[in-house]
Amino acid sequence: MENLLELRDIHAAYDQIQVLNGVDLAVPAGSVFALLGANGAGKTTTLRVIAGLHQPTSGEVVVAGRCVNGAHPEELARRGLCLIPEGRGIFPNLTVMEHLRMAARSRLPLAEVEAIAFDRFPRLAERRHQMAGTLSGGEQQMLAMARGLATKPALLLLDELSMGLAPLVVESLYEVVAQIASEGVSILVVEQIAQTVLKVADYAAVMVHGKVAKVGRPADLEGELSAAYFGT
Amino acid sequence: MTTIPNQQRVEEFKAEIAEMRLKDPATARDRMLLRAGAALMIVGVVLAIVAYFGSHGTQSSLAQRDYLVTAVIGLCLTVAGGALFLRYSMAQFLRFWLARIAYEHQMAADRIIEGSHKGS
Repeated sequence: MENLLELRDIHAAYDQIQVLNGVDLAVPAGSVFALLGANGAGKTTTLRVIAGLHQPTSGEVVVAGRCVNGAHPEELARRGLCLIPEGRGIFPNLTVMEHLRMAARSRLPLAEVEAIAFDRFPRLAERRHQMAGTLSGGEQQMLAMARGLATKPALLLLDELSMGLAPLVVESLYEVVAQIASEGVSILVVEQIAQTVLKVADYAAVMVHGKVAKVGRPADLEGELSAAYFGT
Repeated sequence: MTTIPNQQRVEEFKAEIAEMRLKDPATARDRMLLRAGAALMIVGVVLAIVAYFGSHGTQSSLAQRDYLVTAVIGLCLTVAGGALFLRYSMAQFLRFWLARIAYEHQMAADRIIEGSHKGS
């Protein structure tokens, strides 16, 4: 299977602090790829580099066979590279419908965006006129995902989907992730908690100190995870 | 090659990425121009101040004219530096601001249309 996303020897820094030290990664088209690692391993920075929000100091970000270093994030997003950030990035004082209406400005008409959002997340239909800030954490995550799906993504980047959510909610969200992937969307998901994501992932990688320490099928990585988190 | 569902979307994505116009990945240039803008603003102001005190400290009208020219050059540098600084520091912020304004205008227009439908 060809790769929809490749990172080649990516180095990145925040001023003097080196965060990524030569990340190599390949996400095959139509797969779910889990990027795991402890806090501070460089997972979120990796997503930011892919989305064009942070420029690497060296290396290449190759999307759909083309090096896109220097591309504007909005240009990438418009073409179907969607990042759902940690913390969800929703507007607390806009309603669910207003969020969907904003998303509908990109690719699809509002009716289609509503259908996508409410079919996948019926709970959002019940809350359509509610301010996003008053939704529960799980509902906010659903809204962030619905808004992302409204851009008709080909490559979806998910940052810490499970953050602050109950295990049951996380499981149901990952069921949706598996459904989205089954429709051909390539998904790169960053997580600290590996348990649930590994159930739906086709491939996984463990990051340690800004580098990918191990890549493979989820079953092959279980031993690496304890080393990555506890240094054992 | 394994066929994946929604292959059409993937092909569309590839085509759109291939067509995308990319700016020079040398992003260090943006940072350099931002710093150059800030430096020019400072240099310009310093030149103007030095010229003021210089002209104040001499009675030679020829020297005073030279200081005057120096002060004008300083002002020009400040304006040019300010423009550079604004271009490379505020552009991103202004883009989001513009998007917000556009969204709010659209909302207001939608409300007016909705109101007119109710009224009719």
